Amino acid sequence: MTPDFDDVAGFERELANPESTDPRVLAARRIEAAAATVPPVRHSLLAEARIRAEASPVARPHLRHRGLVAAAVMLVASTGVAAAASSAQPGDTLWGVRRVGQVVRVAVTPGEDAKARLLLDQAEGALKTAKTLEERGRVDEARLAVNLADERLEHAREVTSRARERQRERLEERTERLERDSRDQEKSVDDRDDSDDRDDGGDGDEPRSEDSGKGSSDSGSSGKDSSDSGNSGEGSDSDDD
Amino acid sequence: MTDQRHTSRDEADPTDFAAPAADQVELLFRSHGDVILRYCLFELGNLVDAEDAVSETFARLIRSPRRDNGAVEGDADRAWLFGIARNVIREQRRYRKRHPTHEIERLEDATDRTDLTPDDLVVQASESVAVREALQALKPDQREVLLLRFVAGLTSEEAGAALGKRAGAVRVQQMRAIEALRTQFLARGAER
Repeated sequence: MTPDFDDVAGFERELANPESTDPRVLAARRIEAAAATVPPVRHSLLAEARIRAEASPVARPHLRHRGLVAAAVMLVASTGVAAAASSAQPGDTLWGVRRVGQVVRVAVTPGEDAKARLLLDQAEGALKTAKTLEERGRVDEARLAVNLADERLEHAREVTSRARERQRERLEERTERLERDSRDQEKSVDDRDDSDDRDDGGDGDEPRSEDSGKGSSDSGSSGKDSSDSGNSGEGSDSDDD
Repeated sequence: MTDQRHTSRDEADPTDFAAPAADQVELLFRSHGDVILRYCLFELGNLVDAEDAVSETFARLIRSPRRDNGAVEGDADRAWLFGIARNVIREQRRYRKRHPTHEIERLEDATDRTDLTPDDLVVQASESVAVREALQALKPDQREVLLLRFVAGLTSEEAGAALGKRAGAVRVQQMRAIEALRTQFLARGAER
């Protein structure tokens, strides 16, 4: 009954026989049967692929953030998007997924400049997608892409103006601090001038050395303040007062 | 600049085979998407990773020029597509090894989007899981050949093209692999 299956070609032949009872063929059939239980692929994955391809036309995939992307996809999937996808526009689910993915990427990018650059790249990619979609007559999806581009641009503008604002604040803080230092210094010089006038010729050595010591420590601290003019500006200011 | 071949992808001539046209990709997705998903799911073990791999596979298909792997007996596109999927899976497996996911993601499986009753699902899922676990216990190249042949349904020639091997080598390997799988079934008391 069972033919000789040491022969490779024989195994191939037997695979083609639907009635085969050979245990190896049956094992292969079990794989086939198990594979058939997998649900059909979601068509939105193709749209997702298109966006991936446009987002990074040459570069390697974002394997580093795969976990985050997977988490984002799960998040969106778990909020009942499956139901929404059947009723809403074809692009909906996908754009949700994409938006979350992009937001996550921006969130994990350190530095405002880099963030702004990434956002602009995303906007550029979305615009390109919109153009392509429009050319293919998929107007609704093109509009979604344009909306996404707008959203990214708005975010970019926010980040940029925030960065500019922070930069301005830092400069202003530093200016104010130096103005204060300058006033203090001027006052201290004036004071010493006065005391020099008063104690002229007397035991002027003592106060003079004390004054110069104080002066140098002042200028030292003010120098430090202006160099790390970052976050602790307010605190050191109130110390000075 | 004036060279026609240097136009951007958006304006590419649909007959330019270096960049698959939109409807060509659509066609490939419609005819092979389901099977690519099966293949990815059997390799990666959970639907989230599998879908991620499917989308990445088609993204690479869109942006990469068609590799000319010579005359393939059978469906050359299919062999090419599975070759890409295989690379994506390997990268993802490597990644997963370094970044294991939480169990909750793995529970998220074939229970989605199906019109089967819960009972059907349980029976089907347990058989399917038994087969998948037995496959996971095989050596990677043995599992690969079985998946390409019996999950993806490729011919030995197509599987050979996807793996960069000769069809004869695939046939020999699949014999050994199926024996190894039977051993796994027996060891698990799952032989039928």
